[in-house]
Amino acid sequence: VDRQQLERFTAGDRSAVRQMYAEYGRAVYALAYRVLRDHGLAEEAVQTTMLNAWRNAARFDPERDIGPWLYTIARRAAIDVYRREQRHQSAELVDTDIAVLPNSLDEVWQAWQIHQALAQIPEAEREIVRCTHYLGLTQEQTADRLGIPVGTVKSRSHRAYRRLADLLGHLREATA
Amino acid sequence: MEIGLRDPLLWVDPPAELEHTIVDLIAGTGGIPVTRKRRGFAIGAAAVIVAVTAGAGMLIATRAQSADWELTMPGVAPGIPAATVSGWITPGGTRVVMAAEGLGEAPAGHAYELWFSSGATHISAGTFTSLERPVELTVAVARRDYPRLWLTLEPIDEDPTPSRVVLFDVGG
Repeated sequence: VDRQQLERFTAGDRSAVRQMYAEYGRAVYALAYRVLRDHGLAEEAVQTTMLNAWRNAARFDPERDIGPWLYTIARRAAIDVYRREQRHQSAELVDTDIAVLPNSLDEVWQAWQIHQALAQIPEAEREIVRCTHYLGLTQEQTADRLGIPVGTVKSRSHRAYRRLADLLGHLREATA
Repeated sequence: MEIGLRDPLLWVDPPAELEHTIVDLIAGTGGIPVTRKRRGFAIGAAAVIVAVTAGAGMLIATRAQSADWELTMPGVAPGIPAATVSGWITPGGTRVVMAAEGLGEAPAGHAYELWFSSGATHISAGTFTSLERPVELTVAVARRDYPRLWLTLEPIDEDPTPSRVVLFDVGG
């Protein structure tokens, strides 16, 4: 996000808001869902996050990486919703729909960074990663599902993995 | 990284309509972030919104439809008259009309600011410099979620947090 984008976002420019959401909305939602384990509450936390980001965007230094800043806002929003729900003492929500707050918020931060890395690779490669890692499909099954040759699956998978390794190398170093 | 990529929570997708909701929340609010850095601009814009609203008869139209909630906000100190606030739930949040006869203009260099709060989270519904006539504001949250309504007197500066000069306060 450069200075111009940020200024347009600050001014409430519709396309800039849409672009900000396109870049970070999925990561914010995943973070909120990880904390709240409820789709409705996660939606609420995303709305609060984007609203708070917009309200404070004028104070953000565009020379800095916006990811950690937005992560802080998102985590705060999710925790606020979580605490509010706890206060409401709704047995149904507390017992079944909301998991306990993660013991380690490092886990949330790590997931956020993986999300950011996935957002930086091409959509076609991300889809391969989704099929092979999340859905557990073989390369042949992935090729069938996406209607592309197996060779293309292999090459995209290779490229995706290299990009992700570059983007997330610091995580491996941190956990080594 | 392999383990992280297999985490099902990583692949949770937001509902498609959430993007539209957020774009409408922010862009539909008028694109005026109420941070103190731009408060001067925000106040000018808010005044224009109020003037246009009153001029176009939208305020009357809004009032014609019965409010979803109404409350009286007693003044927190002697000499501050009570205010009434009516709220309408809208797809993008809440529209509020606030009236406080006798409060008048904010002192020079200051503005009124209406807040919706839940705990330590404060959402500004907007700033305005006069309460001589009812003002209409929109905020992208619901009172159900932000039950505390309060009005502060804010210096026009760069501080985006509420001041300690509270004129009305209910639901806290």
